[in-house]
Amino acid sequence: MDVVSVKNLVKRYGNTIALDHFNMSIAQGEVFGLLGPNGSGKTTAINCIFQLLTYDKGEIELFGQPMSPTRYDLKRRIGIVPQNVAVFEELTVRENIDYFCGLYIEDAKQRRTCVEDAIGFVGLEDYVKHRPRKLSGGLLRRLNIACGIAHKPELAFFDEPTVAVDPQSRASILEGIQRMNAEGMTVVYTSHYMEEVEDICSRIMIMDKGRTLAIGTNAQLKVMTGIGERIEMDVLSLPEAARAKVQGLECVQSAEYDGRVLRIVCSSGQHNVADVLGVLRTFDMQPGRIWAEPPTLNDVFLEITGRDLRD
Amino acid sequence: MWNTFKYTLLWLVRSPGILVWSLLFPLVLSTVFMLMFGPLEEMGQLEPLRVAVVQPNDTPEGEAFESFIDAMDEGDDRLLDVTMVASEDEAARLVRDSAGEDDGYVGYVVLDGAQPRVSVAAGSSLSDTDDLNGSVLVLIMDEYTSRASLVRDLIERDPAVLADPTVMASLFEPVRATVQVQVTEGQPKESTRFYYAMLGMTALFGGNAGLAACVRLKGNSSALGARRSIGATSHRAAIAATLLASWALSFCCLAITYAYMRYVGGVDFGPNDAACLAVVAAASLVAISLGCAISAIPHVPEEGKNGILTGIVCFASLFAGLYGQPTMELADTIAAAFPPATWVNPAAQISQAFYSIMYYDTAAPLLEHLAILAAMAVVLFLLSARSLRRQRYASI
Repeated sequence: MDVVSVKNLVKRYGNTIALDHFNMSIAQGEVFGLLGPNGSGKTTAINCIFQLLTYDKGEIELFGQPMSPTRYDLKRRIGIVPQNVAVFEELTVRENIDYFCGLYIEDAKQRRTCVEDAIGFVGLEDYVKHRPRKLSGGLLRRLNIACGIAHKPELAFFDEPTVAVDPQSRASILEGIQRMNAEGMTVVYTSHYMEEVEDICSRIMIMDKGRTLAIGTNAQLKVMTGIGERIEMDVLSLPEAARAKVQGLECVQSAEYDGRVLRIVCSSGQHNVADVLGVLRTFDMQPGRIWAEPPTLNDVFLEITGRDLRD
Repeated sequence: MWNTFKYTLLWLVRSPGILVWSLLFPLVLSTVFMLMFGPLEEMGQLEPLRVAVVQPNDTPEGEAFESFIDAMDEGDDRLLDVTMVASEDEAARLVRDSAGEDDGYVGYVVLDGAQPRVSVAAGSSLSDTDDLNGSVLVLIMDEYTSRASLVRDLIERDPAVLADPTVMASLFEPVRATVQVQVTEGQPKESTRFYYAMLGMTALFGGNAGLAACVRLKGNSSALGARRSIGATSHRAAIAATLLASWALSFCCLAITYAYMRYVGGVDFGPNDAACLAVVAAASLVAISLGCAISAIPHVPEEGKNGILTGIVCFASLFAGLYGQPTMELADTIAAAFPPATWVNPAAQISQAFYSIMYYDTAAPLLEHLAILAAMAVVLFLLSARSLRRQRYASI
């Protein structure tokens, strides 16, 4: 059974289509990465799933049941860590977590345990009496997370939870999410940091202009786009004929030379470096440094969504 | 629901802006009013006149005069503050030495034969109508002289009539050119209406709590509201708890202001504390509903909504007569010429509700004002109901 099932979701803002027959299904136990450029419809999709936004068409089911604004039984099973830190400035860390946990759990005794667990989970034990304005950006983000997961939801949405935090806090947040997933929580994760998504997500969806462009595991996406490794070689005085010959290789998508470094983007496949070196040898050229890396999710993302700047 | 109530109350109490407008501002304004009106009210009150009286002789006239002086120097509403001295020289010295002091002697009195002779302090003149205290002293002694003369005449002409208790009683009735009749429940004071109008204004400033609470409740007003909206608490319960907490805070702040004005500032609100608290409760309800209605205005940021609330409160207070005598006259003129303008003015209704407790001996006017305030609250809540009840938005 899918924990989240979205079918043909259409959402318009006036004449702008934010979600264009958007589909998404997430299985239990997944860490599902939702990627897309700014304005691609990620947050709109999440807000529609939570019934905060109206939509023009489509079906949304959570845990196999249709979602509606008054399905408090379903809402009780889900949590959200919103993009912007949304807590009460006037309440302390513990009070904030207790308040948001109280939106899901009425029993005070049960809640107390959950709140303490959440505080421990995000490592805010030393700050429970602090008000948000006295917390650093990283601590604030951790408070934001604690408020979203204190009630121990079965499904949690993390909407860019690591924006503007230092590497240490980011590592701590990601490690926490993986731990929650290991304990059985299904996670939907959106971010612009590709390496994060690559690290923690079991499946990734790339969306743009309200549509699903690609979906699969990290490896599947790379295969799908046909991008291979990137090669850089330090070469002195590369003749144009040599560059053209490299460019002409079957495995090479592009070859650019700037007078010192030859940059090659390959198609997926093996022995690409050997093929390129073979061509250079025919011109009696021996490159200095050779550097090759497999394609990243960032390459896949740019390949799929394009390099045009977004709003 | 309890959780939402508790934490809404807590964050409202800790919001400096809310507390400043709902509590600090009213207390400061009350204090300013007290400092402003206190001396003015004291000016109209007659303090006991400090008088030196030369000890009369042990004659029947002397004993009668001494009894009269003692009677004037007795009780909470005594007219004279008498110092008995042995001689006229001593009396004159006392008066002379205290000249120029705030609580100096007004003058001295010597019984000269059967008639008191009054000497007022230097610088005063009996013909000077500005010398109120000297005039009062002379008036009191003239009253004694005329009564004593009347009794002496009766003794000479028809002593038997003095055996009649009604005649005796009428002899000692004060002679008055005018009679003071109390037609209202309380004693009217010029300043009281300002205090009531001020309470009307400060009550409405409590609407800030309702406004802030509603903004943070609605999904399309703030990130916090959006997060709360998608929680698993019933939306109706959340609305009820939020409004109840806002009302409780507003009520407490206004009740503290009321208690401060009444018990510290000595402002007269009439004899009925419970009725006053009922007005405080109704005023808080209207304030919260006003804040709630303003929060429903679309496409205006919270700061703008606060500005709108402040504008409405100040405008309404103008027609409640808060800003001085001319505005009070303007309010009265409008109320007489076009009563509906007062019916829809919450500040005027709150002010008049307190007024009706103070001045009327029947509950009908108070109930009428309470009913109007309740109706206002209902209308304002209805105006915001659609916006408040909404859980889904076309955009956020």
